[in-house]
Amino acid sequence: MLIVRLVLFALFLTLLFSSQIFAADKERFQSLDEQVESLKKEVISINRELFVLEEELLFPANTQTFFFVSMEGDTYFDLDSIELTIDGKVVSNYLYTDREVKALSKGGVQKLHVENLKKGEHEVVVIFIGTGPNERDYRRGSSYKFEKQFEPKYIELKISESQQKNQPEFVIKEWE
Amino acid sequence: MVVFRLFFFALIICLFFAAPLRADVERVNSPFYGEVLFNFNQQKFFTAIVQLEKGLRQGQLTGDVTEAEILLGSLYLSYGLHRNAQQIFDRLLESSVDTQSRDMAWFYLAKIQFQRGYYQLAADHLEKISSPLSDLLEDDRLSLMALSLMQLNRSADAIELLSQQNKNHNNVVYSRFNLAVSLLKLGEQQAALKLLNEIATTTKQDAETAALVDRVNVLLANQYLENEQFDLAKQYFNQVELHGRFSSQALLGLGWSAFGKNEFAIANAAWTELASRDRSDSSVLEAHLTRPHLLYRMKNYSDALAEYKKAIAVYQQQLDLIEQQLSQADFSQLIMATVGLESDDEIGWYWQQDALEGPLLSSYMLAFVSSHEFQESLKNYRDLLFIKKNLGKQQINSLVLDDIIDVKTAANDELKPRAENRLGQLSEQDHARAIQALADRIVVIERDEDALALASSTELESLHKLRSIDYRLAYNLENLDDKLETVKLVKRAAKLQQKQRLLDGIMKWELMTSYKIRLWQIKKSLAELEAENAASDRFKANIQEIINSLPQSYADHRQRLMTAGQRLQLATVQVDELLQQHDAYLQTMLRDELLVVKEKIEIYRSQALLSVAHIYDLNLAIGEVSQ
Repeated sequence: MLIVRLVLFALFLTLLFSSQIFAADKERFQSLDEQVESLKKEVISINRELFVLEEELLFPANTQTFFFVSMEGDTYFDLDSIELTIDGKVVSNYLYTDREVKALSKGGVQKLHVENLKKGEHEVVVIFIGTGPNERDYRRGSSYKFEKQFEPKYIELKISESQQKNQPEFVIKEWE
Repeated sequence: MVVFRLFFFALIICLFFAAPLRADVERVNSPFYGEVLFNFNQQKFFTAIVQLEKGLRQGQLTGDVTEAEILLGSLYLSYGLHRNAQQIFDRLLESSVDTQSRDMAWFYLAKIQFQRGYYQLAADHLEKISSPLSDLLEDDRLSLMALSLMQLNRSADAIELLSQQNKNHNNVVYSRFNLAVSLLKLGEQQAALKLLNEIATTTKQDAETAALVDRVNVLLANQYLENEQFDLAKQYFNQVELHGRFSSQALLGLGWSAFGKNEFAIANAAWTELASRDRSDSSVLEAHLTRPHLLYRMKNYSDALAEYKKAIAVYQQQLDLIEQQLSQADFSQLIMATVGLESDDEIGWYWQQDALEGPLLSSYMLAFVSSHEFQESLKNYRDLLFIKKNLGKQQINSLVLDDIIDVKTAANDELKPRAENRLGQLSEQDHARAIQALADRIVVIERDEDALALASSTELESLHKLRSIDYRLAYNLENLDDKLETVKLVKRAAKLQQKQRLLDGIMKWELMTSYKIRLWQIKKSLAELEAENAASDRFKANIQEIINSLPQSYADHRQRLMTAGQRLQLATVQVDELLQQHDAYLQTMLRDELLVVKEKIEIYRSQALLSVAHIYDLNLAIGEVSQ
């Protein structure tokens, strides 16, 4: 057991030395940490300002139309991609990662697309692609007509489940 | 064992803070709030904060603003913005928010204080929580309280608290591990061993749990080894996965357990296997010393001498490697490889096993790299790299926005004269004056009760025709020459005049009877006309206002963009400076730690040299020794 004791003593000395180093460096770390914190806050503020500017320049309030994707808990549908068509023109073809699908199923809402639309009637067609019950490929289209006024418009593309049919359901509606 | 305890304690703290904040939200009121959650759920804290701050500032988050503020505070906390988080929670507590929100604010404030090392404050804040938090957060609250109490040397209270945790949760195994550590700290070995035994026999559900159970087995076995209960120690070392992360420690311990029981063959087998493994592992290095010691005890002096010499060579090799690393100009590349941030991924960093795998992180530095200080520093370094990339992107983005403003300004300059010209043309058509004239005319009609004035064009035409017939009949009767014919015609004309007057009378009567309705209708039409004209005027005014304001609006945008650009440049300089400072700091830490490791290996080498000398001195070996 002599060697065990020697080794343990060596390790103890090592640890003691390490902790002394940590103590000496702690102040330096705290100073750096505070500077990093300030910089992070500043960069967030810059990003927010540029985000707002971008939205004001590209999507004026009277024409902006948002398309959001939501999911109601776990569904019978494993989402792979969504194809979004507005007034006959494909504007988005989005492929989802597992992480994004999980984020949606936990109550997150994805801003899929923003479009400038004139006042008047418009039609949106959405194709949901993925895997449905029994691991079968699933491709379901859904369309919706809406009237755009001068206020911003929020359209929700919602994936839920039909308990009665044991099938996924796809609904397009204006956000309530 | 001290090293183990401290390492595990550091690990628990890291795991505790690693647990992402939870948001129990099923349906959100605002899609913008949902968007924040979408990023939050992916641990994209930076983006989530930017979106939430924007949403709060623009009033896009309908519904519970307090809830949004709590989320923002917790996001700040996750992203290391402690001061901003504290400001939010302090503000919430000063305002008259509901009890549930106050409890949440106290919880997060306690978390901040704990991270800053103010354990008493953390405990005080937690005690102010008036009712249980949501299911999972309640578990976190108990863990945080227990950790604070343990830091305040109130381990008994910590044990009491941890026993209240919901055993159905996945992380309960960590809580029980916490409890066992508390018991060990209290010196209540029996109770700690009992609990560790229970954990050690836990079914290994997933890789994470399996790794924890292995850790527990090693910890438990080392406790028995320290108490010289070799059989029990062997039993728990044997339960560790042979190729798992803790297998080297287990093999080393297994060897010692067998050695303690004089089961030299088993000890030899364990240490021989261990000695063949990666030499950067501290257990392997130790095995190079224990194996010749075993041979010495087995009186196999020749082999013991050979193995000691081999060990000295191995230690020398490791020392050379460390010396080589120490002589390097800098560790930047190694640090970058460890951080491994080649993509622009902003996924939240937190302590995980994978973070230990990298060129820097050989096993003998395990305890060091898992230390809070090193991990926090590495986290900051990674965050700074992300910020640097973000700033680069935003610089390009701001150039694009500048171009957009140019294009819009040019388009406006071109369209403005045309739009103003058209507006001018529209203004020349003085509808208001025409409407006013009509209104004046209606007043006169109403005053005079002039029903005829409200007749339609068809009616007026019919009346005109009847009068014309009347005149023509009268004229013809005055100018007749033939007296005989005159009599006949007068009779016919009289009949026609009678008929004409009857029709004229009917028409006038109809006009009189419908006068009020016609007056009401025309007044209504006038009101509608006035409203439409007013709307048209407003619309024209709006267009004029837009035309007038657009140049100023673009100028404002450009000014804001310029300010943002200046801030971007300043931040870019700052991030470069901070990256350099962090790099230097990390390098110093690594260099110091390598020196510690070097010293440790030198102790091993000295031990081996002493043993060689001892064998020579005693002249116990045959052959080689005698030479």
